[in-house]
Amino acid sequence: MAKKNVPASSVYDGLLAQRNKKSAKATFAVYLPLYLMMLPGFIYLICNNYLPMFGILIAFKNVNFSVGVFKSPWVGFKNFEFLFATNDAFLMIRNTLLYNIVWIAMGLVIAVTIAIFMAEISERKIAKVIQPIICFPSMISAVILSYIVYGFLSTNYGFINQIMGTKTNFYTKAQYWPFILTIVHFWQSAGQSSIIYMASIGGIDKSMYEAARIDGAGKLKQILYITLPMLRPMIILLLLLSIGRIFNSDFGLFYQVTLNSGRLYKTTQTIDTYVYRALMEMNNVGMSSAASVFQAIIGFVLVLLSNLIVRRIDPQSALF
Amino acid sequence: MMKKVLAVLLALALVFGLTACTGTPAETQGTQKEETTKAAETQKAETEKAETEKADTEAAETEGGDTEPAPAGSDEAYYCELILPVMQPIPAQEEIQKVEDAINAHILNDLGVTDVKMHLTFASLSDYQTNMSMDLAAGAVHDIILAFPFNTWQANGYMTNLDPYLDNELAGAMGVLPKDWDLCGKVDGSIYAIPCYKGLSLSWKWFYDHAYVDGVIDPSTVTDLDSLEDALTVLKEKYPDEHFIVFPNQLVSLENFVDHTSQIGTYTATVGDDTTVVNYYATDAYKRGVERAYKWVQNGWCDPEGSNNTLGHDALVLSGSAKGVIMGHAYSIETCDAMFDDNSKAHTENGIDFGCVQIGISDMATNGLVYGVAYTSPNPAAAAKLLNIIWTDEFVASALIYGLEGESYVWNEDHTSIEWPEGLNMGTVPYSALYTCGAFGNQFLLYGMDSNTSEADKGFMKELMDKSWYPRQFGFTPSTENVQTQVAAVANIVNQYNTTLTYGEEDPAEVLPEFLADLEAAGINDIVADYQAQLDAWLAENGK
Repeated sequence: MAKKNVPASSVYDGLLAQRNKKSAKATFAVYLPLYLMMLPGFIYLICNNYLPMFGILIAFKNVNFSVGVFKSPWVGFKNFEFLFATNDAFLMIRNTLLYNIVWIAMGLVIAVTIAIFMAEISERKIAKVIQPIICFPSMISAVILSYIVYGFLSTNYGFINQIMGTKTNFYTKAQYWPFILTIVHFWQSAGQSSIIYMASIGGIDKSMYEAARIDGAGKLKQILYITLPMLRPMIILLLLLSIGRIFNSDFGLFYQVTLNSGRLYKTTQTIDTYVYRALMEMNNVGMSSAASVFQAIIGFVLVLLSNLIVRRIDPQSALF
Repeated sequence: MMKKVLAVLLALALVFGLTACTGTPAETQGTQKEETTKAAETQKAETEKAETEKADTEAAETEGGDTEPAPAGSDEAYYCELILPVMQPIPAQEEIQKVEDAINAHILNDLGVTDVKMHLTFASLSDYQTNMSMDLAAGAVHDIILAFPFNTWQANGYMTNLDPYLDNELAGAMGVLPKDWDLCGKVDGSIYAIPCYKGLSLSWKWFYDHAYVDGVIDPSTVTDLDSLEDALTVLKEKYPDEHFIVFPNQLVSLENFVDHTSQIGTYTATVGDDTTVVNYYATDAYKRGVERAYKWVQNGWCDPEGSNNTLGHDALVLSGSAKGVIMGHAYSIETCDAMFDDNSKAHTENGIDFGCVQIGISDMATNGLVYGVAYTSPNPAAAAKLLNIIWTDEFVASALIYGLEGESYVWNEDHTSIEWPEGLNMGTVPYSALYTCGAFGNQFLLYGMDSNTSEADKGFMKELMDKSWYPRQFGFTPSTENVQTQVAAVANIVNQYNTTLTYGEEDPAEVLPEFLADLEAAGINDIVADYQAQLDAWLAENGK
């Protein structure tokens, strides 16, 4: 915009001059209600997200509660050894990463597809029936889910063995479980994860679609050239959040749905389940904290790296 | 202006709303405890009045002594929390409160103890270890707790050293324990926990449904696993669709007793009188056990997917789903027979007529059911005193397990044994912790009950323990302190293979060599070496 088009004196100039004159104290008074409204969230954030970081200290200590955390001896990185010192360490890290990478990629496609379909039928009555149905599985707890899956896979009475006339013990055959868990995961989560995209699509200016229709764009072109580009910031945001948790896993899914069957560990053991099982054995909070610190730091680094890449490609979509 | 005022009010409401949610676990627990105490005291205000008068008299009598007990009903009587972990549904809170009140009245009126009262709480044993461990790590206030697993909790600093209380507060309980039992709660020469005094040796039996077995085989010919196999072969021919064993996973334990393979911790063992520590999964007993389990499943004698089944042995047999089961109890054949008949009435409409025969006797092993005082206890001396009462007083021990006379049990005519009130059973009485009777306190103090710990059984249990083989390391529990990384790795490998092998779901000829190779790679030999050093030192220290 050419500078000459800006009026020499605008209504904002007076306000700006007035604001500059105000002291910091006066500014604070103006914003006080907002600060107060922010306070509960701020306190929550401190209590829930920052105070527990005290636990990082425990990761480097051999904690004896009778003398307290501070007086317990330092042990360096000894608490981290159990995560890497075994042959299974590679397996659990591989499983955690591969499941997350595949599920993030597939989840994105599935969730966006569902959201687009739902947006297309949002005007119809059937949408009000379909939406609760696809979201309902996410409300089922992992324990109940494990029984539903068991109903399909049981050797004696399972639906699949009954239909096939076989006696396959699925709970000892690790090779089937990457597929079983993927199906169960998306059956449970796809509906819910599409809600955010549905909301984003709902926020897209309808006049853009009308203009596209007038210009002769069909449904596919509207999706390709309006919906998807408008969803891009949300896709990137959710992608970055997912990458931050790439070393975490859905504990209920990997522990409960597999019925904690040892013979499935080769394809179902993740960092979370390994840590849980190891610590159930030893009750060692130092090792537990070490595992959490490892997951958090790697996740943090990955978010930084991902954001860096996003910033290089599309600066406006970067988080920071 | 009005908008600003509203915004400030809203923000303040949010801030105060948030602060209302805070509070440390200790504070919360203290408040709950206080509320429970107040409620209890309100309920029995009239009783307290009489008790107070009596105690005042007693207190006046003790004036001038070295110690002056706190007057009864005063705030100085310490409400000591007892957490009773149970293996059955937890009774309603009002029933627990009634038992607590009765015990406190007994402690005050009959025992004359004025400075301690019991605050009784229940916990489910199934998730006790996880919940209590997290509670203690968070610094929550507790008094008497089951230390489970003892050596780990002691190493974590969860347990109070009880040495200062052994000669006074705990003298009675220590006197009850047989020789060397105190070693089960001892670390580095100090006592941290008291083992429950129970029938530690088990009589393993095959239970069967008379309706299916009578006339098909003669149960009296079944005396061990080999003769049981003969019986199962005949029964399978007669009833191809029925199982006379639920799951075969106890077979490894039964094979342990054949050559006295005694487990140390979970992953290592000694064999016979030799104190050389070996990898448990490489022993002959383990190999025999898993081979037999596989054979039994292949022959169709057991459920083929036991490792995935969420129901226990007892539930499946008591409901009639399976027609037989192997289980170990400290009780005689007569009591077990009556117990199964009785318990089946809670699962089926008319009950099942069970019979049983003994097929083996377990060896003695370190008692892992030990109780102590949490490091967070505000009054360990009072907790030690209450522990002592539970281990030495018949009424307190029995009330904790059976509940109250007239409500949850009645005496028989000659007052020699208790029984369920007319029309009630274990599942319908208002209060019962019966499944915990052998896992808590002093089982030999309990009132006799014919379908449970009968008077005759007390003698049977002691006789069984006398007959059983004792390992030289009885009382020894290894510490995982030096080999935590290896224990984590080995636990992971054991979880992968052990369950399906012991449930007979995989062929040991193929899987066992792979299992042993993975154990070696995970560092089991480091654990064996470390435990050997610990055991040698322990044997030397205790003159074994």
